[in-house]
Parts: sequence; C-alpha cells; structure tokens
Amino acid sequence: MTSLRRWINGIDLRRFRFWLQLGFFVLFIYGGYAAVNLGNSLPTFACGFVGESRGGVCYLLPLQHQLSVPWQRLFSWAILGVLEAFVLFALWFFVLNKAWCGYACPLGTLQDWITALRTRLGVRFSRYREAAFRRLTVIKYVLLALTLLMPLAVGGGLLPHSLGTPFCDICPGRMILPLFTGDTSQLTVNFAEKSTMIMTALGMLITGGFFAGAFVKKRFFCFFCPMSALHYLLSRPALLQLRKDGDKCTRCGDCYRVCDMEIKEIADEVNTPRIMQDDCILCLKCVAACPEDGALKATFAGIPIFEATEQGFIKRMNKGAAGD
Amino acid sequence: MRAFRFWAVLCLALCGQNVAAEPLWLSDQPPDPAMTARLRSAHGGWLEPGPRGTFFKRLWLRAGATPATAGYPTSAEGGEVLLQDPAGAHSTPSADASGKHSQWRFPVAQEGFYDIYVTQRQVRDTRLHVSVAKAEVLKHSCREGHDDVQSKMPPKHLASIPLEIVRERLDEEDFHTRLGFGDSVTFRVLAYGAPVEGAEVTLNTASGWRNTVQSDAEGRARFMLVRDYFPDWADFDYRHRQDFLAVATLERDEAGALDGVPYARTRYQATLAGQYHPSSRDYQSYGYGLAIGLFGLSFGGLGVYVYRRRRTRPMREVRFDD
Repeated sequence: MTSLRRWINGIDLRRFRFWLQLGFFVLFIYGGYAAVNLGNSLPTFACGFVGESRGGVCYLLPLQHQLSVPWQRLFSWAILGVLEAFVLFALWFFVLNKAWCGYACPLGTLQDWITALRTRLGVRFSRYREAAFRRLTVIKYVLLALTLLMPLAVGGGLLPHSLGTPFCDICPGRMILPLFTGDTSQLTVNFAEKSTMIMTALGMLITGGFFAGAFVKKRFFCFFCPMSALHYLLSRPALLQLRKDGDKCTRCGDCYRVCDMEIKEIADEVNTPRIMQDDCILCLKCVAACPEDGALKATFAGIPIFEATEQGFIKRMNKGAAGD
Repeated sequence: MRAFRFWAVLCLALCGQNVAAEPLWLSDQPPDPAMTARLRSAHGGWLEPGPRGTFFKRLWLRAGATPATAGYPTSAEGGEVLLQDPAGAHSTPSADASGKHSQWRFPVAQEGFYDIYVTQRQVRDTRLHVSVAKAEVLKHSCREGHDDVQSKMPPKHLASIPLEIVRERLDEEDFHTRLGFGDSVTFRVLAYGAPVEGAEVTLNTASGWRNTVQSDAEGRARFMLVRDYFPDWADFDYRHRQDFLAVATLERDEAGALDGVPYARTRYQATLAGQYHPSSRDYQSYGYGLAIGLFGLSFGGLGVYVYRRRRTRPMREVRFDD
C-alpha cells in the first residue's frame, strides 16, 4: 500500500493529465460513434452542437432551453424537468468537482494544446496584474447571471425567442468543437434576426479572441467561464477536494508559479485547509510542484489520493515534469 | 331571377365537382389562423396541449393541389381512417365533430413518427376512385432526450394500403432537421407495400409551382424543393413554414363493383404533405463569420504584441565604480 501510494505521489502528472484529457476529448467529441451517451447534464463543455458523434451534452445548453419556456409552463410541471436535470448535473459534478475543468473539458484541453504549441514556439506567456485579475474574475459570475436570466426573460416574453441560448451563441466551443467532426456550419453569422446577427457575430469575434488569448495566456477562457462559476457555487460538498496544510507550507511559491489560473491564495493562504478558489480547475499541478511532504493534497471523500512529497517532487524535477 | 338561380346552381355543381376531383390531403394547419393561439409549435408542427403534460395532434382534411389555398372539406367527406404509432401499433381515431370541417384528433404520447391514413372509395363515371390521404406526424420534445433517434427515423409503410407515398429521409436527418429550399426530397410510391413503377408523381409547392415525374422501377421519384418565398428582406422570417404536397396517381384496369355499383377501371391517388422552410443558406454567411473571427484573432494578437512591445524596456547597463 505504501509503495502504491509512493508510486502515485511520484507520478508524472503532466503525462497522466495529457492522456486523460485526450481520452475525455475523444469521449466527448467522438463517443457517439461508439454508442457512448453520457446524457445532457454534463458539468463540462461537451458541446451539444457537435453532431451525433458526441458522447454527451454540456448542461448549460439544456438548462437555457428549459428556462426559456413560457413562465406559465416553467412554474408548473416543467420545473420538474429543470430540477431533474440539475440533480443529474450535481451528481456528475460531485464526483470530480472542478477537475471537470482541469481534466475533462474539451475547450480547456484545446487551450492546453494551444499552450503547448506556444511553448514549443518559444513564445513567452502573459500573466495578469493582480488588480486586473481581481476585476476579470467577476466576469464569469456576470456571464452566469446572464446565462440564467436571459432565457428566463425569453420565457416571459421580454426578449426575442432567438435569445433562448445566449451563452451558447457566444461560446467559442460552439464554433470550434464541431470542427473536429468536419462540421463548419457554426462559423457563420446568422442574419435571420437582429438578435441572432448580433449574437453570432459576437460569438465569432470571441472565437477569434479565444485563439489569440489562449496562445499567450494559459487557460485564457476559463477566467470568464460561467460553468466554472456554477461549479464553484456547488463545490463545497464535492468528493474530490484540494487541501492545504499551512503548517507544512514554506511559502516557496512553486505552486503559484505553475498555476495556470494564477491563484495567489494557493501560496499565500496558510490558515484554511480548503484552499480551492473559484478560478481553480483542479489540475493538481500545484500538488505536483510542491516539495513539502503533505503540504498540498487531493482528497476523494476525505481520503488522500495524491499528495505533495519531496520524493515525488524530485522525481518530477529530474524528468522536467514538475509543471510548466 | 330564374336565370340567376340557374347560374348559381350550375356554379355550385361545378365547384362541387372540382372539390371532389381535387386531391385530398391532411394538414395540421387550422382553417382559422386564430386557432394557433391555443396550439403549441413543436418539432413536427402544431401540437395541442392536453391535461397533465399530454399532447394531441389535430389534422384537417384539405382539398386542392395548391397547399396555400387548398380548401377544408366538411365532415361529410371523411373516410376510413387508420393510425399507426411509432411502435407500429394500429388504431382507428374517430373523427372530431367539434368543428364544421373534417378533422381528426389523437394523442401523441410516444416519440417518433405517427402515420395516419384516410382512405376514400367512390365510383364515378364507371371508374373507381381510391384516394389515400396520408400524413406523417412527428412527435418530439427535446426533454425526452435524443438517445434513440436514429432507430425511430426510418419511414414506415403499411402493406394494407392500396397506394401510399413514403418520403425517404435525408442523409443524417434527425428529429430537428427542417427541409429547406434547395433540398432534394425522394418519395417512394408503394401499392400494398410493393414499389410501383410508372406512377405519376407531382410535387406541388405552397404557392402552386408543380413538377411531375414518373416513378422508377423502385417506385422512387425525386424532386428539388424550389424557393417559393420572396418577401422583402425586412419581412423575411426564417421560421416561415410552407407546405408541399406530393400526389401520386396510378390507373389500373381493375374492374369490379363497390356497394353494388359496377366500375370498369380503377384510379388510385395517394397524397402526402410535408413542411419546408427557408434554407439556412439564405440567411447565414460564412464570409462575414470568418471575417469577424479573423478580425478578433488579428486584433487580439496585435493588441498583445503592441502591449508587449510598449512594455519592453531597453537594456541599460549600470556600472558600479568600485
């Protein structure tokens, strides 16, 4: 048992994560070809606009659909469908917590691949200034509120029906992920109505910005992701957790330096064991980069499954795999 | 006054004959557009909400080859009715006598396609006229999920129907697919379940354009749905729904008697209506989409480049004089 634990703690996380992300990517984009269907309540961007080949559907798409029905229907029996889908979403989410972002999200994986390309090209990455970081991190909550309120307004007849899925209209996943199945139909501006024209044009603009941003900034889009905000609101009871033992932390800052999301608290906070912040994607790169035994650990239902060890750190450093 | 009565009677008689000779078909478009207020638009057309989340489909009998102007015959012109549900079970929905027009209402509980047939037989001029009006009704709600769509997509037919039209599916067609301008539709003409060669198949678009072809050895007739909607751009509605009507006609030397009335020949006529909409090609632009995407990419990239250049400070050598 001890040797197994030692082996896990010394794992090459970068390689493990690459293969796991690739597996999830294939599952969500091509899983339908193997008759895989994980349902419509997945807590990750398994885009519903990918055709029959998809292995499941991101929860935000059916959620917006459900909320955009007329209020009279929504606040009667239709609310049961909304609750059922939410419970399924929550059950999926409680298993992996925000690791859905760090390991499963196809759009996140794509950003990591763009980051790998930038690294190979020798282009340096960008970081936000702390003040900018604090401002930007609010955007995802604003987007989440709009994602919920705009379909509700559609149901109440306050907005046109074509605004029923506002976040999907501007989500770069809608434009990019179907491309992996040869479907280019989302790369268009829809002139059918003024609202669709504005939203699809905005979507294409954001898609262009997504590529530019993801090339210089690690996990660029995740700062603005409303799914990430929704995750954080539900993350406390989840099974997978990131914990920190402040007594063992020497505040060397390695964890902060490898963090794609630039979460400063991971290095600075030494009083609270529940260290996970709203921007965290539970990639566990901080755990892999930590040289102090047991200072950082990932737990599943309270049981440590991967924790920082000096031995593991040295092993990864020798391989050049402690984080990038 | 006597002359007026004569012409009035003659006109009525001629009109009556025309209605009888015109193809009969089934449509979910109500005779009074105001009725749509209590219907719900769904994949597959109008649905009538029932109690506790149930839904019903209401179909009216129509007479006339031009869908936009076809009339609504009265209830006296009904016929034998047969309904096949998505699971293949048969039933006979009763006519709904609530309105003055000939109509049927039936529950649609299952996901998939319902096929309803209204068959009429009539002997006129020593000829038996067999008219089969068929409607293929889709019931789909996204709330029911999309797990088993493809198994429910293949069109069904009945071996007991004298003549029927089956619309073959498009490639990758699913419950959400909308036929649009420019799409090619293929119909199969089947008599008692067997393909019919040489049947005359006519496609009528909403406002009256029509094209007639002969079915091939496998009973197939192929048409392109031509654009039939030319509003000003300000009035353009991408959800604009139009009906098309396919009519297959077949004459056979089949003699016999119907209710004691003899006939020397038999004329079969089958109809199938469907919906089509403006094509997405009419209102979606790749050119603008890609241009805006490229603008976002280059503007973002240029912005980062300029920002980095402005923040780059030239190296200044500092020498300490020890």
